[in-house]
Amino acid sequence: MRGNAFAVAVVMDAPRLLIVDDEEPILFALSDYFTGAGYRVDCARELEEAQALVAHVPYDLLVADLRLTGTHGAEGLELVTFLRRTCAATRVILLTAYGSSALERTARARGADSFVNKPIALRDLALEIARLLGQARTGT
Amino acid sequence: MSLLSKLFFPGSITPVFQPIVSTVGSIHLHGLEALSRGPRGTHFESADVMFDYVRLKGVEPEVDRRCISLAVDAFRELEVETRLSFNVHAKTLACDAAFVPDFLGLLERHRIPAKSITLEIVEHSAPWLERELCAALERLRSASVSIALDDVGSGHSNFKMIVDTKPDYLKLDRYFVREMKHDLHRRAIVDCLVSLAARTCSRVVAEGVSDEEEMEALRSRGVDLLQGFHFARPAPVSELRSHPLVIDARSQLRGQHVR
Repeated sequence: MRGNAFAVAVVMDAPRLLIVDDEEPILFALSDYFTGAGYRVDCARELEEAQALVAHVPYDLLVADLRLTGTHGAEGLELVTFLRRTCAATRVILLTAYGSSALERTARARGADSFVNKPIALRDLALEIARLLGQARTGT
Repeated sequence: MSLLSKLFFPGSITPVFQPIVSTVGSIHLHGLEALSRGPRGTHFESADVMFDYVRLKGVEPEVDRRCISLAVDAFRELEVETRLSFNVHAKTLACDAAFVPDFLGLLERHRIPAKSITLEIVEHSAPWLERELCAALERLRSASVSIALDDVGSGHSNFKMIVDTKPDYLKLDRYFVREMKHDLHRRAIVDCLVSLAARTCSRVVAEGVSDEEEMEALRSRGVDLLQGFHFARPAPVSELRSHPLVIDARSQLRGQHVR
């Protein structure tokens, strides 16, 4: 494991993250950083890939870009809605470069736990992940 | 390259086969179920994830066709005469009008008798186009292809599907096999399905049989077609060639030919 201030202690029971982004460099950077921090990390590039994964893998937390290459530019919201049909426990952080308070309200109403404007420093994202994983989720 | 196009790249889908055994008399090979594994090193190595993705993308017919075509090629390499099952989505049968003639043509080109084929219908989303589905099944039946309903008891493989598809085989979902010994409700469902099969001239195949105890419990309740890790895991042709069930089937066939 690489040195990382946010490294989680026990790798075997490390929280499982799914990172969803259509930009390969971002996916690589996040995956590399959080794997180095001891998390178990999976990556998805498309909405349907992420949906197929969350249907079968019990992730602790999902970090998803709001806008993926696709149809209407709000795939992150679709993903949260899909997830909440079957899973209340997984924490969700939505990332966006096009945030607004209305969009944030919609995201939270759909079941997102956190709505984060990009760009965000990896250190700050790590803090947000740790914060959410430290709390039990109370219903949707 | 998109993920979807990667699925159509040569070598990205690997056909594997899992034996279905009959326990009538001694345990012997009843047939093989063709399954598919996605590209190695990707999430799609898990068939569940891959096929969920395919369904979400709405490309079941294209992927079903590809998987079946690859499985037929691989099966030919195995050089064993046995029943062969393919999975196909109800949506493929209902929406792809050319599927049935193309499928029958594929069997003919490879000289695989249609009567040795079972199409296992998988379905995850209703409603499907009932009329088109029933018409496709009728064409398959007329060509002597058997029909199986996969994962009976779970999801959309329900009583309505049994009525609509009139299957020759009812494949009991592993959920009901697991812990059957300790669960009255699971045993009752197995008994119910055995009775239903007897009344509709179909046969029950139990999936996910993982040990001797489950095998005996199922046999004692009248289920004699079994599939699961207890007998064999899904394997590519290269591994399956040396499996005792396959070797046994080959030698019996040679015996029949000699006689």
